[in-house]
Order: sequence, then structure tokens, then C-alpha cells
Amino acid sequence: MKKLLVFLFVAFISITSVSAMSEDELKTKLTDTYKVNGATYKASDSQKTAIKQYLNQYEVSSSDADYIVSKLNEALDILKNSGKTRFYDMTKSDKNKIIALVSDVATNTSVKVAIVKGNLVVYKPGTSDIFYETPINPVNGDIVQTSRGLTVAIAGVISAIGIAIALRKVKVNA
Amino acid sequence: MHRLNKNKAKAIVKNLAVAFFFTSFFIFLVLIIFQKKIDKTITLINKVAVVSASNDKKKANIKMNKLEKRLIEYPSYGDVFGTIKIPSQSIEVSIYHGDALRLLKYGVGHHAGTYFPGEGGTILIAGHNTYAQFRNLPNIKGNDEIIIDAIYGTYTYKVEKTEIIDAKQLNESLSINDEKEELILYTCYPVDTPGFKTKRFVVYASLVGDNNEK
Repeated sequence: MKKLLVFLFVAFISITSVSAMSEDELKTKLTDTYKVNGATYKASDSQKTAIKQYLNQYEVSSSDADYIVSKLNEALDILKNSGKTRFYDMTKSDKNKIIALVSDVATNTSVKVAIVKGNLVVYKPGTSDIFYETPINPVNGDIVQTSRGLTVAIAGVISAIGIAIALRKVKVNA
Repeated sequence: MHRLNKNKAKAIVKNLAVAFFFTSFFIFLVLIIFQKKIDKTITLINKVAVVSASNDKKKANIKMNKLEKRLIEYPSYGDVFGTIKIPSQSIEVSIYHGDALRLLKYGVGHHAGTYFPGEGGTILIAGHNTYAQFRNLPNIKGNDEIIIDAIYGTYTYKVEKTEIIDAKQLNESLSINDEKEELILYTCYPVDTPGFKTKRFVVYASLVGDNNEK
């Protein structure tokens, strides 16, 4: 939820600022923080870079920007009224409302965004190719688990349990 | 009759449990004994995938705008856009745009939201600590060469420093520099013990040469 909101928030600021603001003012706006229900939301460096990369490639009209802003405000209201700060802590009904807002943006603007299997996905306009993807609720932020030894560990533990049981039986029989 | 069925069910459960333990033991032995060969086979399969991916028409539009130092079109998330080579450690593996775990099964992953090679900013690449990917990364030394052979150009980096830090610390200290090209590679640490890892081995390298003519 935090990532989703931050992404929409940063998208909103950068999109609405493109025509009117200088690049420096835009950069300053991107580092802004805001608070909802006591939690502080601030875009990470990689989220800001993703937004910049999106805007480098694709144009977003002012009417699309206005629409996204209205949906962002609705999302913030839902979040405020829920009293929660995380997507997974919200009620199913509130979660569905947020997901519906994301669908509305995708349906009615050129910014194709969706929530797919716990990830926030932004598509390249007019294609099914993904431009940006990020987990909504990451464990370690941007850093992923890069160990594939878990299978070995699990198989090893199960084997050890099996051997221990077998040895115990042998001992009992002896 | 009821007792007979109960005994039969008990025997089935017992046999299934024995089969389960033997299968796990077999998988454990295979993974331990043939890990290197399995990883090498995965690398080979990946190379074939890169060849077919490079034929993709989509890749033709991915070119560097030399004046603005940015890609004219970015690779799609989940696509291969090059190969990373570390000759001193015999590492050669394809790079996917994106570091979702589903992609790291096949190659190392470029974190979306960081810069691409040649764009003049921070590039963050994650790889598993398997023989097919970054198993040998902790053996890397200062000044070792790292080459990224992207579909739009070739970029050479020199290792500046390495460190072992907590995963959370890496996330907190990660800042995207947009004024100097810096390559950051990381893998789970230690590399030779199974299980969940909370440490990361991180390599920092700076750009020493580029060739956008492709």
C-alpha cells in the first residue's frame, strides 16, 4: 500500500508539474514527504528514477494528470478513513476500493497501472509489456533474497528427521 | 473389518512417510553432489535464451541517445538486455531488467528504478549465490574488471571496493546517484552455507570505458 500510494503520489506530482514547473522545482517536489494516520510517506530514490524514466519516454496529457490526481485524493481519503497505514491491514472492502481506483486510472488514462499478484505493475502504453514492477509489501525494501540454498536446507532437515526416526527405531528394536 | 481398514491406512501413511523421507534425502544428496553441474546446465540454457532474445524485434529500438545519455526506449521488465562478465572470476551471466525472484531463477536482475549502463547513474544488479551466477563474487579483488555487454553498447567497470553488510542496511543506505556512473552488484552472503541469508556481499565499481556503437 505504501509503495502504491507513494508511486501514485510521485506520479501525480511529477505529471502535474511537468508543464508548469522547472526541472529543479520538480526535483524539490519529488523529495516532499506527507503524513497519513501518523505514517510518513516518501518516495525512494529508485521510485523517483522510475518516474523520471517513465516521463522521459511517454507523454501524459493534463486531463489524464487531473484524473489521476482525483483518484489519488480518493485513495488518500480511503486510507485516512480506514485508520490504517498498510494495505494488508485494511478491510477487504477498503482494499477493493483502492484496487478499483487503480483500475479506473488504467481504464480512463494512458497510464496503464494494475495490481497483479501483490505487485504494482506499470505497463508500457499500448502494449502488454511491463515498464515497472514493484512488490506492494516488500520484506527488505529494494533488496531481494539472493540465496537459493533453501531447497538444500529444507531437504536436509527433512532427511535428518527421517534418519533420526529410523535410527531411533533401530535402537528400540535392538 | 474396521480394524483391518485402520491397519491398512496406517501402513499406507507409514509407507508414504518413508517414501517422503527417502525422496528428500535423495534430493539433498543430488543437490549437494551435483550443484555445480546443475548450475552450469542452467547457465547454458540461459545462453541459448539470450541468443533467441537478442533476435527479438523489440530489442532493435533499445539504443543509447549519446547526447542526453539515456536510452531511447527502455527494455521491458523481465527482458534480457545484456550479459555481465567478470573474467577474473569466470562469471558470465545474462542480465534481466527487473529483480523479481521469478527472474533471478534465470539470470542476474537489474533493479527497476536504477539507471541502465551508459546513462551515468547508479546501476544496481542482484544475483543468486549459485555457481551459475554470483557464487564467486566474494573472491573479487580491487581493480578487477567487470564488463556489461548490453544490446546497445559495451561498458567496462573497475572494482573500487567491496563490503559485507546486512540486507536492511544495504536498503537503507542505497541512494541512486545521477551524476556519476556507479555499478553495484550484490549477492547473499555467506555463499557456502544453505538457508535464509541476512547478509549481502556488495561490490562497488566505477565506469572506465564505454562503447555505444552497436
